[in-house]
Amino acid sequence: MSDSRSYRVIIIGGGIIGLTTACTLLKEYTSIDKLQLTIISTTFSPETTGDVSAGYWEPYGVNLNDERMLRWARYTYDIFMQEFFSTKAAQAGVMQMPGHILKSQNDQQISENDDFIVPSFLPLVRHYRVLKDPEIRMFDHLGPVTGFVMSSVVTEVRRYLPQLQRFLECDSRVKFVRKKIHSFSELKGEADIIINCTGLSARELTGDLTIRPARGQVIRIHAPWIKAVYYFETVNEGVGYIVPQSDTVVLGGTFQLDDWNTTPTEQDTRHIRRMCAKILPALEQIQDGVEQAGLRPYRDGGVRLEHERTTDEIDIVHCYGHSGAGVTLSWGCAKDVVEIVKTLLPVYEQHSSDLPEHEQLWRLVL
Amino acid sequence: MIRVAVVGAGVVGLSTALCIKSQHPSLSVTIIANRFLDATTSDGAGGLFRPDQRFIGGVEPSVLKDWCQTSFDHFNNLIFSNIAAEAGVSQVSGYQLFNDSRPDPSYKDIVYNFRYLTKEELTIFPDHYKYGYFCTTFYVETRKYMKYLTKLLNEKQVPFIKKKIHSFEELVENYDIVVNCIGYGAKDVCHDNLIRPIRGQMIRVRAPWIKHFYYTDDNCYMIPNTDTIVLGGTRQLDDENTTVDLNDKDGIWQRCLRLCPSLAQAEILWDWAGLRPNREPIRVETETIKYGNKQLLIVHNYGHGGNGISLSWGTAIDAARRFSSLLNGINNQDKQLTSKL
Repeated sequence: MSDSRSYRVIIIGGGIIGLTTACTLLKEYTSIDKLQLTIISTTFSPETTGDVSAGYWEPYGVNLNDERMLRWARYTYDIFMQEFFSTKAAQAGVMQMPGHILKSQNDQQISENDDFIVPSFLPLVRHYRVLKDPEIRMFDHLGPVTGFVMSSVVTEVRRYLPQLQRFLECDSRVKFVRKKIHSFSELKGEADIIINCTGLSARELTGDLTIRPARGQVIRIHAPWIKAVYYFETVNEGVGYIVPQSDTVVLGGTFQLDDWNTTPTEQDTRHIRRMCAKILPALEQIQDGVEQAGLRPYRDGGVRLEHERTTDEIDIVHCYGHSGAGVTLSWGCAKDVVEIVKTLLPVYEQHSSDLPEHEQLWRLVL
Repeated sequence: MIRVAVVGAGVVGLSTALCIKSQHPSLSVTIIANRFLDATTSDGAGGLFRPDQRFIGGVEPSVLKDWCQTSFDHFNNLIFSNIAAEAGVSQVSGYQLFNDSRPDPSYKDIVYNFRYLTKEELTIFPDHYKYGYFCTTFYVETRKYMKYLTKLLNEKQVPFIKKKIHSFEELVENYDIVVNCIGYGAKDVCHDNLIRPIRGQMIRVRAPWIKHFYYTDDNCYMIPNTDTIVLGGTRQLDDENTTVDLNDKDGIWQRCLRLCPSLAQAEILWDWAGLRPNREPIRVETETIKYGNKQLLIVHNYGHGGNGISLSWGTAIDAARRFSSLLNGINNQDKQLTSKL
């Protein structure tokens, strides 16, 4: 028996935040036939910010003392882990793999309780182990380092988003529109709720100047022998990271706040190659690669996830400002967003299902 | 001038030849084998380093530890060198899952990150195993590694001769020392009844989203190599059939698919069957054989079973040490002879 209510929802933003929110919405509103969901975006995969990223789950560039972060990250991690052990893994680009996280140790000895060694997201991950003798010896070529190992998950956005898109397209309640929205008032009267997942573009759209670009450059290479993530943070020379994907490896990284340049630079390429070749010298042999630069949606106060009713009475749920943790927080934020939506657009019939959580969110369309 | 023949060009033969030639650069060393590279037994190996003493019978624990640690250190150095990709060696982590309780594996202090899985971690696997380990070790992609060893041997001008040896007597005319890395061939050539085949079959697939190895007790394993995954396996004692068996293939496929459902999307590349040359103990020792008024000094290094790759370097170093002792013995004899003149 279907619910005769009729709701119209618009999601602005077709990246990882927008599409995970769309799937979550459909899941919670299964019983509402007359749900019209329109996803409006200027870009879809492979042109979103997430497509440039390596998709490595780790709360990176966000304030770890924010309790919401841990909750969102945990939920997202669990979903990806379920997906890895399902038939989705291959097409959706979800891969479990170990990560070696290292930091140069100089005169300031890093204590075992340091936030770097024992990050607050620790209880969420598997196989965590501080690197000690003799294991740490294998990184002697990096100078004195400290670090840990953990198991995490990589979600290759350029594979994942198209799968979410296909799933959403199969639902007759969903419409995709490629269009730029300059102000919320353009959409007045067109929806009961607007969900704002515009990432960095929220700056223009909402006038929120606390959201700023944190530029990241990467190089995608062919190095299939690498089966783990390696991350190395130095004192003065920045960061290098190596993140395998399904059939490429992503080398990074830079974090350049307030830099709007989306063109790769030679200087950054040299830096990335040099840092990564320090970690795994065999990378010196690789000269090829595809460079890209993307702008992480960094926000001073962290993620903005809240309801706003504008002066011209438009209901908006904001969800933007994920910095380098969009993939990491995606499903967790989507859940909270839809909980807020449910307070504004009630669903009375609770649809129960025996399917695992990740299957309820979306399924592979073959 | 001492002439040395290394018989067998599998991973053990190539490694041993390399150790010996590196230690004695001016010595004449020739490799004689019937099969090379892709045609060897080594070619079928998944190449994962986990030499478990459960499958290595009759070797003294301190000797095994030495072989294991020496091999580990050798491969570990390659991983972080700039020729890692060429040599086909890279770190990989993974799981072993089982239902019966058993003592810790002997490699646990050699590999990295070894730990038992928690009950919660065990629930992520389809069949509910009672126990499991996780560790970080490495894989050696045999095809690449053998090409790499061959390249080093070519650089040292070690000649390769293709020939099937039926008896070492064939070599007594032209060689003084034979380094015997003949694997399962020792059954006929050395009349060694201790060596027994353990047949193994595997399927090579492309499934690049899988970055871990998995082993269960139910003859099921998945080992990532550079751009393929090895799915296995079988352990059929005294079975000499080296042709692919379709029932075995189906069994392997079903077991692996159960463990990792996303394998359904994998691209199947090729199948392989071969004989692990199992011996209790692995034979690393010297022997002198007389043929009429001539004699041949032999250094044996064979019988590695399913641990050929894992123990190749450690046993090669051990064999090279014994070789050097033999060489010293010959040189001392010569000195004694000349001093008598």
